[in-house]
Amino acid sequence: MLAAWLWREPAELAFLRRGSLEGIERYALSHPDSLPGQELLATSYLDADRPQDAVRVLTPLVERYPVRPSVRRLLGRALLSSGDVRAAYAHLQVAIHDLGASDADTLYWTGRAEEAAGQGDAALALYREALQKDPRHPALLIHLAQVAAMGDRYSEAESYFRQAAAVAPQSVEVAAGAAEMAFRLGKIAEAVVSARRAQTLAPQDPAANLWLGRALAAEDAQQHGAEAEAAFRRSIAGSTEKWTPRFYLAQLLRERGRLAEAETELETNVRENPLHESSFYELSLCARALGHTERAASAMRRFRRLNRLSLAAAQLEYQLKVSPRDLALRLKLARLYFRNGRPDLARPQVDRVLREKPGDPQARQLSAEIAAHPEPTL
Amino acid sequence: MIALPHRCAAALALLLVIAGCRSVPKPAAPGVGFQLVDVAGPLGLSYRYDPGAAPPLNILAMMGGGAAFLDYDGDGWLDVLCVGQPHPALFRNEGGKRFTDVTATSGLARQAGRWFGCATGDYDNDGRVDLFLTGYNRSALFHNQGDGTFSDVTEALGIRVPCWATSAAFADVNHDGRLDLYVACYAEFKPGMPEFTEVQGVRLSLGPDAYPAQRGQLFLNEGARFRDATRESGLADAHGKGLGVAFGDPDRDGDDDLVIANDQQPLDYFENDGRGHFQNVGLENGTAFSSEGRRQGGMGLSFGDYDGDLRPDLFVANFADEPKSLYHNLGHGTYEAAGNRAGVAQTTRPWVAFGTSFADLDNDGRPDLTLVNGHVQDAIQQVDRGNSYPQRPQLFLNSGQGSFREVSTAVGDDFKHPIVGRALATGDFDNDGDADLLASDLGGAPHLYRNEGGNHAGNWLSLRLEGRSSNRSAIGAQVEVSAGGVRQTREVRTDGSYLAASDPRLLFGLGGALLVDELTVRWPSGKRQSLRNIARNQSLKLSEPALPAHR
Repeated sequence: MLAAWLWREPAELAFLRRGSLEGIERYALSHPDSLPGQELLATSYLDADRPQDAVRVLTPLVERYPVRPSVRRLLGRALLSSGDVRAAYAHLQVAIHDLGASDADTLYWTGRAEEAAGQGDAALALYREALQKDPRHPALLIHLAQVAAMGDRYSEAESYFRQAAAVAPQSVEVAAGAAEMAFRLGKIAEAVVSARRAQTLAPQDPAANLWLGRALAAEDAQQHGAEAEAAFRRSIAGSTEKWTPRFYLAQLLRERGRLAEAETELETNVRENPLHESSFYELSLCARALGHTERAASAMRRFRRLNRLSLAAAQLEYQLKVSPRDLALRLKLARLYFRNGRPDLARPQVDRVLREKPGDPQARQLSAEIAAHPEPTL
Repeated sequence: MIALPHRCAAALALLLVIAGCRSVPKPAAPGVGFQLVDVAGPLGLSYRYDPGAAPPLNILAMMGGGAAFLDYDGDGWLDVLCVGQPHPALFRNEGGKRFTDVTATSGLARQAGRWFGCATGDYDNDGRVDLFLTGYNRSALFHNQGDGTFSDVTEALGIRVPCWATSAAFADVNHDGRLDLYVACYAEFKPGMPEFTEVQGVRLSLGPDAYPAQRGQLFLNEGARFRDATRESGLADAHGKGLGVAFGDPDRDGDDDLVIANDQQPLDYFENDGRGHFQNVGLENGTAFSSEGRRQGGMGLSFGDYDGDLRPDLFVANFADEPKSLYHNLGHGTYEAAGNRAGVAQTTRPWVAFGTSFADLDNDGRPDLTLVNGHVQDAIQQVDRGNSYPQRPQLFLNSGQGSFREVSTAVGDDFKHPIVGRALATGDFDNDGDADLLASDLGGAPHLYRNEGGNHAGNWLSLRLEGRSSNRSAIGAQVEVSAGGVRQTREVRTDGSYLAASDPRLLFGLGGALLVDELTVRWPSGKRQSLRNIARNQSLKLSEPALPAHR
């Protein structure tokens, strides 16, 4: 009796929201005409990082409810998360300009689409408008913090994370982000506090543990060494890119005089990621200190090769950040990467050129060459 | 050895107090023992560091200017040089009581240019300190005529520096008794090149990655001329974008190695084979990158033995969000990043640091660490609200055991005041036995931070060295002092920091020791000289003995 009541009206959706994705799927399947039910399913797919499934649910929904802004906004968000920036942008524009949507969420996702299309200023204007509509929009605050951090504006990022923490105190992402910003601003005691909070919220979270380890090691590597080491090890266990926390673990071990263990960790790092430049450098120093001359020399040779490319690429990357529409420069960078054995880094640059200028013969030729040799050889 | 009656020791100090020329030292904060009081304005250092452009400042306008302590008239009092545009300014020290602007009479007022930094040394061994000015597409060597004037001898001596030169340094790299010259060059920046980017509608200058690197030059002093020996010396292997340079002999093999702090490039650490041939060993010895394995925005740098193991260590000031790098010299040609352990990595992280110095400000026998900070973007606060263009300088007192504690806000109100810090020079301008600081402030006046109380916090010994078969400035001489069971080592240098030249005299803090038990000099020529039982709180002049060399 109770169950039947729950499956019927919007209140049941509120209940479902707190339940499992499977429950929502079951409900949506049995209620194909329920717009709130289908929207909830799409939102749940997006929250579960399954944007393609969200697109599958929302595409027919837009056809059935073409003037419903919330459906357009959701589809825009789903398409954006799937990498289809153009289509996402189109739906979001319809929601704003044709359907009069002016809510913070739609403005935020349109800003994200603008940003993905390289329109940083337009995105920023939309974010500002969205923030005026809803100064407590958690996703917007987190994203603004991340954008500021990427632009090296750490004080601004810290401020956004602080605002986000006020509206989403249980967010691990926010607590870990706050820890990172405090660390970068030299406020180590604050970094430790935020990182501990993040780690308490999600004990195995890789970012929370990474910043906890780094903050503890920076505060006092001798006093907090064991705790920092444990945090790094948890971060390694939970990370897909294990070489970052492992690199810092190796540094901590080296600082604590455990050179042989540090060397082992770095050996693992360069085996798992033969492109991890910093690890080769650390490994070389570590091996040299241990008297492993040959290993040190070999790591240094490898480092030199990687470093030559990264120094050259850094300048072009920087210039592209300043002039993102300079296709000739982008192609030059792509060529530099490809000719130096990094087709994986060349590919996104060529793709971007082809998106802007699909017929560009040089870009097409380079794209074909990359397709023929897609694996890094550096 | 000639023991000079110290000009302003007890008697002068008494006179000054009687005459009311200087205030009684303010009580220092607990545990600090001295205060830093900015006396630039009251003592007559009337100069403004003009960026040469209206905001927003481009990369060329944001990097200056320089500062130097030098005794150009040989009267025993350090004069002050401010380096900027439209011309440098020279201020004569009138007995430590005031400064008189002698720019016009020195001839420097006629030297128009976009000047940045300076190096000082007696290149022709005539007993008078000469001056090298670095600048944008014009750098120049000025000969001290001995009558209060300088003459431009750049062309006549074969020096040509067609780059944007930043810091420079004199050292005798090939042991011929003559000072050679290294000039760091920064980046190729020309009219018509892109200058700005826009962030959130605010125009900001492009960074160094936007411009091709320029590499520095080594000029060998051949007596009648200087010869560009960059390529043959191996220094053409520098990464470029050099901002800070320092010679030193951290491996104690008797020759001068060269370290160059480069902006967004690996640090260059050139080891000298003793004949003026250099090999870049920065990657191998662990100084090329930060403790996080990354390239840094290297600005200023300084050698100093912070942990008392008699091996000079290296500190590098760099950009924001970079832990400032303290490299501990392990011996055997290797260094380890020790900033975290020493407490200077994270506390300095948010600031953009330029000038830096290891000077023992409290005379306890341990070098302290000073940094002057200031962002490069004049509009940084508009895009990053918590950040600021002027930033406060930082001072870390060496607490022994290889660590420092920050006392920036405990040494007086003047030192708390944020500045757009660039150059930092050290020297005892008032000859009272403690080190004072001179800092440039882009867009503002110079700051002369007088150390008040350092000479009471600990005893001291000031040494002025004069070479005979070595270069007359004695640059490169190494002095080891043993007092009260503590041994210290220092080298005679005027270089290091950023765009700066410092007092060539060595000021040893002796703490509570009443006597220097032993003092040993290793002259650049290889000669050694030892003295015993030297009284505290005095200035000595040491001349190189006419003894055979023990190289």
